[in-house]
Amino acid sequence: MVAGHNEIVKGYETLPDEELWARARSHDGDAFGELFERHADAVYNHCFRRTGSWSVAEDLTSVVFLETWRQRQQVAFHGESFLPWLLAVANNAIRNTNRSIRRYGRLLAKLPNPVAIPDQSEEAIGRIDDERAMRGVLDAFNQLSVLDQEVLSLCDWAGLSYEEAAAALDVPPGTVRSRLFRARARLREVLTAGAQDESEAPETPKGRES
Amino acid sequence: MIVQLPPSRSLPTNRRYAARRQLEETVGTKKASPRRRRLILLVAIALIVASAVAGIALLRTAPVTDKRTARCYTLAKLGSDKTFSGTTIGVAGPPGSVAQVDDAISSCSDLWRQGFLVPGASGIQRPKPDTSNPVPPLIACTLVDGRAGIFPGDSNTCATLGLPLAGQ
Repeated sequence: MVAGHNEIVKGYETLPDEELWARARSHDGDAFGELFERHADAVYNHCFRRTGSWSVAEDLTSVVFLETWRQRQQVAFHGESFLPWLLAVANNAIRNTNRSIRRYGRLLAKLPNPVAIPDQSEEAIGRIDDERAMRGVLDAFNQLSVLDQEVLSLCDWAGLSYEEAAAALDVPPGTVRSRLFRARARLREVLTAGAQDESEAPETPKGRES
Repeated sequence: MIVQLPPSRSLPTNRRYAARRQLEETVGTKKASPRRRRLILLVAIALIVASAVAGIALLRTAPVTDKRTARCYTLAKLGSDKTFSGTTIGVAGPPGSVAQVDDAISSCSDLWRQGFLVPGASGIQRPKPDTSNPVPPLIACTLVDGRAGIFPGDSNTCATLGLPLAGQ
């Protein structure tokens, strides 16, 4: 039985997302598990880049998949990958992070504590550095409009194509293209202005951490 | 200026494993859709209510165990064992037999129709010729001694008198 089970699960690795989703819709937990395995890291990193917190990103990753399952009647595929849909769900969850996490609080409480690794490990220190760096980027990023934020994070940070991002955001691909150029320029402008302010600001002993 | 993002990282192994297991269990468990759950809930409530109503009706029903005689009442009032508004009826059978009042309502209706029963009167009355005699709505209750008591009234009359409805 175990060998047979492994064989089936191994077979899932070769199936396209659409087929896995069809099986998941028929309550095949292993198929959904395989979709999670495939896209969890992409969702995790997307959530981190939008929130600046690895622990929040861990919770949101579970929330995205649970929410996708809850709204399974609405799921639509655009192209072969399930990722655009997942990132669209992620964007909704990020917009209401606290509410999203609260909704699944009971299930999240059953999971291991986020980032349960030794405090002084290289990994832990690296994650703290990541969060500090990401917060710096988000200070500028959050000055963009919501749509610009979503276009830029989906295309430039998560690597979706214009068509995939358009499907995720439910806007025409042309809008994604024009928004992306504008968002890049705007972000560059904000970051440059921020850098100039910092270089012009008088040095104080309690200046902002770099 | 190029935005420098922190490098991508993998979901921590223990969290990844637990989250996957949780999702597999969630998806693998078949739950009724909200619409279906609502339907099941409504059906369950309807069944409970129907059972309760049937149970109450059953509790308020008792079989007629003595069919040798029955009482036709002219008022929805019990009276005493010997004095009451109405009359006692029986059915004649072959000599030596004990005939049964199988349809007391029908028998009492006939007496009302023929003018032998008058509202509020005790015993049999002399019918007035050439007059139509209305039959009031009648209901059969089971008296404490097991006989049928036919009262003018409706389905609430038996309960009002503290009697069960006459059952089969």
